[in-house]
Amino acid sequence: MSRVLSRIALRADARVFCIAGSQSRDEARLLRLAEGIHLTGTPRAANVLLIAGELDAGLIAPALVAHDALSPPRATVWWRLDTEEALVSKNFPNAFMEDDLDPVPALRRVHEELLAGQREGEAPLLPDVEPAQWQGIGPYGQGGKGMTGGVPYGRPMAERADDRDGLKLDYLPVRIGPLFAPLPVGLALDVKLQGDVIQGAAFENLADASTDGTSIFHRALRVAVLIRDLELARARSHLEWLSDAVAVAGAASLSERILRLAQQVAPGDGDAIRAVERTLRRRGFFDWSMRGVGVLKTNALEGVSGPVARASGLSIDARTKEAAYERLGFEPLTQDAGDAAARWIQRVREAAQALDLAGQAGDERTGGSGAIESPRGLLTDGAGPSTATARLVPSLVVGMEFGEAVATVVSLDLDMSEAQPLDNHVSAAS
Amino acid sequence: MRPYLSPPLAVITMIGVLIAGSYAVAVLEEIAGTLVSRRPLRLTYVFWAPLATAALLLTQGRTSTERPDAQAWALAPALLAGLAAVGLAVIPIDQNTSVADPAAGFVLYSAAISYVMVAVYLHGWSANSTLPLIGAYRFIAQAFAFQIPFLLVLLAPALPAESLAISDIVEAQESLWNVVRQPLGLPIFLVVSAAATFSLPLDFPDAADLAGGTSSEVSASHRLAWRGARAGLLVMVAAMGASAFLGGWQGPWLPGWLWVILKTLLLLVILIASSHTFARLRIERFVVLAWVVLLPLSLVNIFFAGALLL
Amino acid sequence: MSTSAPVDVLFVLFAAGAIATAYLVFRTDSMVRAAYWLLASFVGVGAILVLLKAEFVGLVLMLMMAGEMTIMAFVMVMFMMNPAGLNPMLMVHQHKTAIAAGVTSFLVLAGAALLTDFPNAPATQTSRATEELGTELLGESMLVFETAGAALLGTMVGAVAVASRRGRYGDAEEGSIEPPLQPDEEWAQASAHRTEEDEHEPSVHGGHS
Repeated sequence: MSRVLSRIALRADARVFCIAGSQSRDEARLLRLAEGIHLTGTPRAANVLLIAGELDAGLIAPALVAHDALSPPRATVWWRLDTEEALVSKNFPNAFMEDDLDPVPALRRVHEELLAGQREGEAPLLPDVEPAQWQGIGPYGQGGKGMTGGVPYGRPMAERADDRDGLKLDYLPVRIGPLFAPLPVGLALDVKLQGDVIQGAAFENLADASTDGTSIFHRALRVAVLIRDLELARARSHLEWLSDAVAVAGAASLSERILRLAQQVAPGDGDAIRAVERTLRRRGFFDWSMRGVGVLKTNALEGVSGPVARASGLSIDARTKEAAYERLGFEPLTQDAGDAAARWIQRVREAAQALDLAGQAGDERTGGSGAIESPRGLLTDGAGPSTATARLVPSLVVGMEFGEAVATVVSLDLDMSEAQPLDNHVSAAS
Repeated sequence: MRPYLSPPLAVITMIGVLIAGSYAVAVLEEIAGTLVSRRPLRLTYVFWAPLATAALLLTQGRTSTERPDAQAWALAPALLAGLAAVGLAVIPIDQNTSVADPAAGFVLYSAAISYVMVAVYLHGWSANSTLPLIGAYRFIAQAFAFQIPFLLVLLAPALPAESLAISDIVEAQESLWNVVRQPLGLPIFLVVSAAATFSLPLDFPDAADLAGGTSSEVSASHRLAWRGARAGLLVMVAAMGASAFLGGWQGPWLPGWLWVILKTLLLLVILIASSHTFARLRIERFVVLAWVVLLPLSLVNIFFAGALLL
Repeated sequence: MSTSAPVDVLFVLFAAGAIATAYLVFRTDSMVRAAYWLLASFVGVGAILVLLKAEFVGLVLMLMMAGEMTIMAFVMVMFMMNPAGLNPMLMVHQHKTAIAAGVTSFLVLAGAALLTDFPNAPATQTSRATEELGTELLGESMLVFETAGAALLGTMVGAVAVASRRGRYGDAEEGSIEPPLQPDEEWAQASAHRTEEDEHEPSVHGGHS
């Protein structure tokens, strides 16, 4: 019987939980289009763990926990992506190393070997013990004075706190991330939950500081590049973000379509993007889903640049200062609402605008001046736009329902490796 | 009294309907996903994928969270599947065939719908983990918002039938289907059905922004059971929609049971297609929508259904 | 009284189940389990009512209890996070009083059940129990009851509206302002105070209390 099941199961997509290092998230995202594998949102649904690129030091411990949550028999594949450091191979000694550009054949092979019994499932990497000894005290052994509080299992229990209605009710401190799929890689949110409402928030950045980005925008800091290439890369970046955001909003199939479009667009394809905007509007992504979520007023936007600032009505864009863009008749687009819907619309429209610009640019070049407008905002040598944007998160999510908070963070398009240097704990409470 | 299936045959029928229904839902999901994502449609893959996935989940070992309420956790998918079976059982298969057709069939069906809340809450709570717990909270808000419109919109078809038995409700549609007689009924029913089966765009407890919510911590056979039960639930509401609004077994040329199946499939296609079409609402928006729009509309619906009878 | 053997067996099973689950309510250390054991007990009672041909009453009992027990479990877990499963909690208080009250009421009810001379009037298969029950309960006062029902529903919707985020004391995100005890000034002051505070607030949207 189990042999028959295994034979049938061979036809199934390999269930893969992918942990990408903060430098490899673009490559990892493309796996959503691959056939023969299926990326899961939780390790419990997967039997193969894929580690893409080198993991940031802060992600190793959560990755070990995720490894042990995989359904046995489990296996690990490390997709090296030209990285040299060996944090992954040290911590995942049994990982199957894959140097190929395309990890799908290796993932399929591992999946099939697991099913056929040719590969032994990996044992858990962490000991299966309580995180701390039971320390029950108090009248009923519940761990604290009275009925609440205490650390009976080594983790803080609910405490009393004010809530938004002026009542005193318990809150539960929990950490969301850093491998929580909807949030950017490396962002760990420490929230105080009251029901599903966030009463206080702090975050920790677990991504390694990126010393030197490899994108065309980082290259343009030092040398002049073709506007055509730069704007195409901008449109791709916005579309890839859109694909992620649509997936978090629940529309996996539409997300796949947008991601495929991101790979196919060429300079001058602005109309294809405008069609995407119409599709999203018709399906209610702006008006039903994102309208009124995470409103950012202009006076809160200290140091923030890029689409997030422009969606709140600030017309700041490093491109306006460049002669080449002036010759192309570039005008920054803005929105007034400042909510998540405005940020979605802003990025989609900027993607269309970028493709229009790329179509007209010919051989015009830009860059080399040490400051460039990247898809997330103003990029200078040693400072990325996400630093200022990430600072908004704690005060922004306080008082929100959990899903609203997730939608808000997603709408900011953070890259935590770029959000450095940043004092690691930024917090807010109600 | 209508003739019932004999008990053994009834049990076999229910199991068969649940399995075939879940499979149909999985295939329709796969087709809708392929069409929306504009992947090439490979039919062999589409028909094999649900079976292969089920087999894969069955070969895997289960993992557990730290100190879950194991019994309640295991009970939840079984309860949900049982509720789908109870709900399906009251729906007549043909003019003279039904598994169970009690005089209070409507009430039994409504009770099954209200226990969905218990199953989902237990599923989220007993995992002893944050994301499932939040999913469980969400479903309570969702359930209290959709339940009254759900009951009211299903009560309206019972008025012209002057009976709470589903077969009488079907029979009362001989001259005119309720979809015409009560034009508000089916649209409201479809919206609250999406909420009751927590499928997109109203999949709040198991949403992607909770990494799967109440099912984010379940693995292997448990995951399969939960998915199967959810699909069974979808079949259960579609079958009720077919009987309460589309005239159940009634229709020309074809045998009655085939009409029941075809109408159920039609509603399944509509529900699944809209789940791949619309963006997920925010839970808060949905709750407002349910209390402010759906509830008054379903009251208007029942008022007109009653006024027509006077 | 004549009943068939399967019905007798089912009655004993449901009755024993209802008592056993009711006992378990007091033996568990988790609020959710306690609430759902109680629900199981009610389901047993509902099933017995169905066996007694009171289908409608039995099913409605089950239907209502699902919502009520869930609200109980949910509100306790949501607003008193502690007993969310991780932390055991003693579910019984005032042992002696509770035991005395329980034993007394059991004896009184059991005595009443044994000593009363119940009429022997078996229900027939064809009886329209739902209809009879409706006539019995409402009779002439149908309109009154329906009006009361509609009024209660209206009250419920009103309560939800008051408690909602955009409630009648203003948007909950801005913090609710209590109505003044005396007319005019205090309310105005409170509102002015709020707006002033908001101006200084560096950040934005999100609840501040």
